[in-house]
Amino acid sequence: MFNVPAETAQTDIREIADDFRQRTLRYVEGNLAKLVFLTSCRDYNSGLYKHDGLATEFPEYAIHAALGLLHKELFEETSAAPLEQWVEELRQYLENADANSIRVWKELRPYHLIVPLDASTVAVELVLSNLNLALDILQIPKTQ
Amino acid sequence: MLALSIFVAAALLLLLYARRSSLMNRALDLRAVTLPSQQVVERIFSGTDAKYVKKLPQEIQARFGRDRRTLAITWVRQIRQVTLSLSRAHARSIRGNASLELGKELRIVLRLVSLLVTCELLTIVVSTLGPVQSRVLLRQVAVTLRSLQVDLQTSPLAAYNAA
Repeated sequence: MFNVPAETAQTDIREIADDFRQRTLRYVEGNLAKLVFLTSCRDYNSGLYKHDGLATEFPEYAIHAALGLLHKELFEETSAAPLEQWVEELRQYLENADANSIRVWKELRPYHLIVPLDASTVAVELVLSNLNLALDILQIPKTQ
Repeated sequence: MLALSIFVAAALLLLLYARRSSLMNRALDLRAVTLPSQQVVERIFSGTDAKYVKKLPQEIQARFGRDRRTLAITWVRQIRQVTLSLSRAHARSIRGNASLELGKELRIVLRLVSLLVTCELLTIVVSTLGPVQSRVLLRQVAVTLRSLQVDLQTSPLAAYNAA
């Protein structure tokens, strides 16, 4: 992990995060897609967030802190959503993906990765349970 | 009959003692527990999702019920762990403190005990009836937690933590 220099003000991190939310994240449709997008900026092994566009303007530790903050905030905002909303989010997300996605999501469970570091265990389990149920709900034949 | 009653009572006490010891051993450091937001807890105990799944196949309803019960019990366990950690931290902070207010200390102890008892009751009700039917006890936990927070803010524990 980065050692964030002491002089790095929280306001700087906040500004980078807000700017990224406004300029990039708002064009990603749906909260689930936003969470997947932020997860894709995080290195699987180190947990560090990286972004080539931001890297031209800001130091690596600031990008990591800002994207980590955004990921945590978005997860907190989304985690208490009703199950029905998760079903809609997932439907919307998978519509834009491969036709085989539901099967792949059920088998490989890639949605486990959308969790930010240090999130509450209960919130994480609630989100994973909702997504798992949403996958099954989407597989119900329309006649039922 | 009397012998049987004594045996049952002793067995229950032993069970409670064993459970208490295992809880004490497993109790986490306060900083190690990240409690979920109030909205997440409300979602777990809310009836909205339960109403939605009622229209769905039995299998999904059953899994939804199991998941929500597990989540509710996990949360209750966390609250119990936090309460136990608070009790210990509070006991440490008042040790040797000459300026204690007896009335206030008694109130704190009663609230801590009441919280632990409510958590036990909540676990039983959630396991048998489910989280949606446990909302009265959930409110009781929230009220006791708030009162405890107020009491602890002006207790030696606050000064102990600040130091």
